[in-house]
Formats: sequence, C-alpha cells, structure tokens
Amino acid sequence: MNIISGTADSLLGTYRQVAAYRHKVFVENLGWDLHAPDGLEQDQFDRPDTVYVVARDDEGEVCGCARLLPTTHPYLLSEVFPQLLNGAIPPNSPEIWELSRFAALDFNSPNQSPLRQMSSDIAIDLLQGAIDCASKHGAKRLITVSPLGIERLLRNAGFKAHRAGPPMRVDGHLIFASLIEVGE
Amino acid sequence: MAILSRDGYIRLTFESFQQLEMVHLFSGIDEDRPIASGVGANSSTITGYTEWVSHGTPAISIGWDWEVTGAQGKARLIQTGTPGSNLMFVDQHGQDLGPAQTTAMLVDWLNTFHWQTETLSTISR
Repeated sequence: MNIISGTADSLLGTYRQVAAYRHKVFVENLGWDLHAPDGLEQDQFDRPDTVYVVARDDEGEVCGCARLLPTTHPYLLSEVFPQLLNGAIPPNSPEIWELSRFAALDFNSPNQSPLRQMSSDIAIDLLQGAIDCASKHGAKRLITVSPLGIERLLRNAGFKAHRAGPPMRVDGHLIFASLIEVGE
Repeated sequence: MAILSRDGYIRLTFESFQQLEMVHLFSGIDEDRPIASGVGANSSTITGYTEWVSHGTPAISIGWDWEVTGAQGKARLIQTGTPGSNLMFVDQHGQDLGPAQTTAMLVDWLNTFHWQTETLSTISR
C-alpha cells in the first residue's frame, strides 16, 4: 500500500477514482444520502484548493481516502454541521484544517465491512498520512466531522484527540466533531 | 455554568464536575464489532456504546464502550476501553491536569456512576 496526496489537478486520473471510491463507500455501503450523479460522490467542498490523501493497494486500486480543507474558507463543519460544535463559532485559522470524507475500506480484502473499517491498518496509516500532509500545509490541529466509530480508532491507535461536543443523530447516523492534534 | 475553551475543551475541577448531573443521551449495540484478535478474544461477546451529557450548552459529553458479562443468569454491563470526552480537568489553580490524568479520573468516576440500568433499559427496548 502507498499513500499519496495532492489537489484534484495534481492527482490527475486518481481524483476520479477517489470520487468513485467515495460513492462506493458512502452511498452504496453506508447508505448516506449524498448527491452523487454518474457514480461519483462530490460536493461543493471538492474545490481546486481541496487536498486529498489517498491510500492505494499494490494493484493501484484506491483503498482509502481523506479530504483536507483549510478552515479559512467554507468547510463541511462550518456550513453544514455547526451544531456539532457545542455552541462554539466554527474555527477560521490557517493552523486548523478540516478532515472529512475519511474512508478506509479495502474492497479487495475479504474481511472488510464498512462498519469496522475504522479498526484497520489502512485507517491508521491513512489518518497518519492525513496528519502529516496537513502539517506540511501549516496545520497544528485537525477538526473533523465523523461517524462516532472513528473515535475508537483515534483512542485505540493513540492519536491525541478529543471531542468538540456531544454526538448527534443525523439521518439515522451518529456523528460527532473532534479535534486532533497535529504536533510538530 | 460550564465554559467552552477555544480548543473545544470544557475546563473545570473534578470537584465541580462531581456536582453536575449527567443524563443519558444514546446507547446502542455494536452492529459490527471490530475484528477480534489476541488471546481471549471472543467474537460472541455483546458490545456497545453509551453517551451521556450535562444539561445546557455548552454540554459536557462523555461516551464509552461496554460489554455484557453474565453471572448467575443475570446480564451485567462493564465499561471497556477508555472514555471519550470534551473534558479537561484542572487543578485548584486552573492548570490543566492533561488528557491522560483527566481520562484516568473519568474511569475512576465511572466506577461510581450508575449508568448500567439506563443503558441496559435502552438497548433492551
């Protein structure tokens, strides 16, 4: 497995594979109600300045992805889920980046399922890759909106993280906001 | 009243925290457990999560995992792993005790907090 990162332009054809992978994970497997025409899952936060972190298996197939957005521009948590911030104003700082659309489901592995993907080695490597990538862009902290299950990954793998507020049920899914320390 | 810090933490002393009432928010059974591994891993164990909050906004949020143990035909829930929260305990001078000590104190507190009845009742519905 290898991990690459970059904007949609710099990732060339890989970006389309990521959008198709996101459709497979979030729409087809997890049942999220997302706008996804043509089998590609994309939204208004997939912009030219968005940074993607992508895990690919030995055959070059996408087996994990994450999306990084600076909080100095509109981002998922500030525009769609500010209620997860426990009454706080959404951060706006070049030192805080948002991590979203995190998935680590390897469709070529027989033991994978969307609900336990967060305990996999791919998930840990991908999250560390996202932290390293964000650090290179000047981030000191990540903020995320995630399924509650990702908190287990954060705790069990030893990442420095804490929740920003209570979880909420949205469209039948428990989600929460958390802050992850990027470090030096 | 709890005050939210810019880093998302609610800071207060353990003594102040003990004065607050924590109320049940959600509980559920894990639909698909993480892959079991290691000596003693038992794929038939029933596991789940429970979430508790303080009143008002900003709210203190604490959640932890549990598993069912049975003795003499009676189901009992025990807390597993480490709890997640937005709490940072401070000392009497307002200095952070740190995430590790805060979590350790929360685990001790959980041993005195009666969460099992409400959680068991919710997941049994």
